[in-house]
Amino acid sequence: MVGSPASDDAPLQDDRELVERVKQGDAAAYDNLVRRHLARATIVARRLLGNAEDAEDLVQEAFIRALDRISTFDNSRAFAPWFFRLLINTGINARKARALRAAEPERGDFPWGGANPHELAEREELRERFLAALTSLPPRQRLVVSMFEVDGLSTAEIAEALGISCETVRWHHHQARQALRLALAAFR
Amino acid sequence: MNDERGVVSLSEPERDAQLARAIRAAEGPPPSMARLELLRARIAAAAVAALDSRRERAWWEWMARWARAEVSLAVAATFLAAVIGGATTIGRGEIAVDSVVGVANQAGGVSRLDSVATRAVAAGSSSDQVMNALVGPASGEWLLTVALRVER
Repeated sequence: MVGSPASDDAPLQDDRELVERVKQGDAAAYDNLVRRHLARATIVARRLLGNAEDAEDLVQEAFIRALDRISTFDNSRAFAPWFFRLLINTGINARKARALRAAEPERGDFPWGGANPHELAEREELRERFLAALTSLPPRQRLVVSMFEVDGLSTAEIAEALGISCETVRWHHHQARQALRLALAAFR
Repeated sequence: MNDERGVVSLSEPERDAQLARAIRAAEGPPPSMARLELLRARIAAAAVAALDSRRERAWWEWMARWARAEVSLAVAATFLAAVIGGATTIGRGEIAVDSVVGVANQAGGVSRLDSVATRAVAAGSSSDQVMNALVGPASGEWLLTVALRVER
């Protein structure tokens, strides 16, 4: 099953063994490594680029780059932060370098508002406002707040994945949370 | 914790469950399994060439690593074979020639091997004596003879 064994509950040892085999050109091991990290990589890429097609292109590019550079990877360290740093940097560069496809409207069940027409309209307005606030965040801030609040990663784990310090992660988190809370403030 | 006044604290911030739900809702559902499976197949197809060349490189690296050891072993083995085999061959060769020449001299200066062998047989020598005359004695005396000759 693709992506179901999330990287955080897969033993680190398994990643090491897979990486070692990938270095020898083992296709099955590479496929396994991709399966492990694909789901989260796709979510992170979508947060960065805003639409599914660009996100999938980015994920593919990141996995191929990882394969090209796997000889330089120090296998005494964890694979996931190294790979996600590669993915995020590639994504940020892609954002700068080329025009991306239009962001698709994202529709989830927004957690506020009631069932009557007035409340529904209010909820729709809140959704629009929150989405605008979320998409207008700088890429790193959006990633930090999502990885921390939604994925449940610690600031240290986010720092390693983004290749920045814990203090910078906390600062990004703080800025993002202020902006998002402001968007929600009227409805809280 | 980051407080509402805009101060970034030094410790781990507290998680905001309401904000998490709002972000999750805004981000929409996670990608479907079918979509992930397609993407996985795309990545696998794109990686074929890189994996092939990596496999080839790994094989050559393995070969190169072993070749170094094999060449050293082969050189050492050749050297040993040359020393041992060479000493044996040279010794026997000299003894054989000496013996033949000795018998040949006794036989009146005739140096042809068949003449020596014929005369030795005609003189009623045993087969051991004939063999000793032709290829050298079976004992280790030849080694002593060579050693003494080298000393001189």
